[in-house]
Amino acid sequence: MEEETKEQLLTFGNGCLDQGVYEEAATCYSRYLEIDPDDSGVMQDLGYCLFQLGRYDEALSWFLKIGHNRNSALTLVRMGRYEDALPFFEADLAEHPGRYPVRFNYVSLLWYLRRFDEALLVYQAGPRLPPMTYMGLGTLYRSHASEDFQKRNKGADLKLPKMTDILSYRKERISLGLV
Amino acid sequence: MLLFYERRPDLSVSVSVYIHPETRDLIIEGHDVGEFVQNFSGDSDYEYWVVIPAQEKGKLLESLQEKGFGRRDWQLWVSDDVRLLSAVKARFGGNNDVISEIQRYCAESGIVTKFHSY
Repeated sequence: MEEETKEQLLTFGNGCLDQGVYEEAATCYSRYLEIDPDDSGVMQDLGYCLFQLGRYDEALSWFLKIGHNRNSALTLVRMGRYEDALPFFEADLAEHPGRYPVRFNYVSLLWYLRRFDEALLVYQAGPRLPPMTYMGLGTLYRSHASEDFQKRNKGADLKLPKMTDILSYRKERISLGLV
Repeated sequence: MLLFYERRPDLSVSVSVYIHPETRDLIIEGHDVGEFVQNFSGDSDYEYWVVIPAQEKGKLLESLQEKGFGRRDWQLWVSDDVRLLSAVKARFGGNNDVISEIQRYCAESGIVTKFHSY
C-alpha cells in the first residue's frame, strides 16, 4: 500500500464508498490525506465513511474542519446533541433556502424538540414545500396550526399545509429518524 | 468505479470512471483486449477515454440529478465528485456503448468533452 498513488487511493476509496465498504474507503481516504492534506472533498467523504461506521466524533471533526453545516448538523443529531445541531441546520438553510430536505431536517428537529412555533415558522419561511411528513408535521399541525398559533403570530403570511396533503405523504420517511 | 465489463473468448472490454486527483477531471476510460482487437486494429489492445474537464462537472452533475440519477440528499452529503460518480454510474453503467452514450449525452447538454485513444 505504501507505493499507492493518489489516483489509486482516490479511485479505490470512491469505489469502496460506492459499494458501502466504509472501513476500506476510510483507510484509502486517510492515506490520501497524508499525501494531500488540503483536499476538502476527500475530507468530506472520509467524514461520511466515519459517520457510517458510527465513529461520530471523528466524522464531526472533519465536517467542522471543512465547514460543512449540513453534515455537522446531522452528525450532532446522531450523537444526541440536538441543541448543538440547531445553529448548523439554520446555517445550512440560509445557504440552501430552496432545498426541501434541508428545511425538512430543520423543521423535524425543531418539532422533535417541541419548539413547535419555530418549526411552523421555519416551514412557512421558504418556498412552498411538498407536504413533509406523516406523523411529525401531522402532529405539529394538529397541536399548533391552530387559531392559537395564528393569534400568536399575527401578521405572518400563514400558508399552513393541508392535512390531506400531509396524509397523502404517509409513506415518505423522515430523514432524521426522529419520529 | 466500473461502468461496464464483458469477457468473451476473443474480447475483453472494461469501462471505468474516476476522478483524476490532480486535474479533478472526470475520466471515463475503456480498455479492449483480445484477438478481436488484434484482427481489427493490428494491436492486441485498444485504450480510449473521454475527459470531462473539471469546470464542466457541475453542469453534468446538475443535469443528471435533475433527471433523478445518483444519490438522494436526504442524509449526509458526500462530496460533489462522489455524487457525480454515483450519478454517472446510475445513468450509464451497464451500457456496452457507454463511451458513445456519454459523449452524446454531454453534447446534447452543452457539456464539453474530449476524446482520446491509442
